Amino acid sequence: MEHVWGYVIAGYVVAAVGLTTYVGWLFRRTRRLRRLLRGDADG
Amino acid sequence: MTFLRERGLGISVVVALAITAVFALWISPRDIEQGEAVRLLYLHVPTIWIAFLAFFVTALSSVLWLVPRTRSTTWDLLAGASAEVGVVFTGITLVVGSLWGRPTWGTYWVWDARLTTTAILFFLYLGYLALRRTGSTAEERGKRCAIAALIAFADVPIVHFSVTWWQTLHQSGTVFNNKISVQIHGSMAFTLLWSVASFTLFYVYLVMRRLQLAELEEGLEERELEIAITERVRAEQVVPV
Repeated sequence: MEHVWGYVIAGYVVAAVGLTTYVGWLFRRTRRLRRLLRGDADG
Repeated sequence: MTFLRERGLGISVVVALAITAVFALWISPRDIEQGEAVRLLYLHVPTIWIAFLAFFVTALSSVLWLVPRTRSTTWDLLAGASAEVGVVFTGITLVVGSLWGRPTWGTYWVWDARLTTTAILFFLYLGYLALRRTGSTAEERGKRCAIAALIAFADVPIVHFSVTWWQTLHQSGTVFNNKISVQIHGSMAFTLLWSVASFTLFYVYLVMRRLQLAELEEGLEERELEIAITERVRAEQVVPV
């Protein structure tokens, strides 16, 4: 039964990595566009 | 939404999801039939619920955009924001479901009605997101995307009822099924409900953030257009002799 834990952990890792990547992209792009619209950075 | 409120909601989401993980991985007991694999359902059920909710919000926003009396850019942006979050959660549902299927059914994937219609749902909304990126006027794009969103949403009830309409390897609804007498351990029921609630809170947060980003993207597009027009006017003023 122990091998089932492998699938469980894999599922939680996939979900955590997927959601963290998406949230990270969302935050980075928001910050970048805010800066761009304020005129703090070049394109 | 003020910065503090947004931060408060973000912190609440992190705490709620952490509690979900603790209950799902440690506190709730193993299932008598599925063993430890049941722990994956505390991810699988809320993620598909969020996908359905997200696509419903997309369809509703699209209808509100299509009706001339309620038409507003916000509805179009909300439709796009919610669809994107829905696609992320549908992808996770498919992967987690496959990982649950391997120890339970002995296979990662079968082309049964539930799995196939869910995969179609994923690709339909990926297509919708691609359509949103096609260049045209905001009006044209809004109309095209709103109609596409409504067509894609037709797959949601098909996914839901697929287990009733066809013989599938995927089991039909269990917890809220009146036809069977369900006995579920208290901490399992709590974990399931808590995970659904915490992921719903997460969805609200993500859509708010994505909507903010979409508004910034719109602002940038408008600014770029203004710059392009100004440059063109300047170039036309310099008339060659």
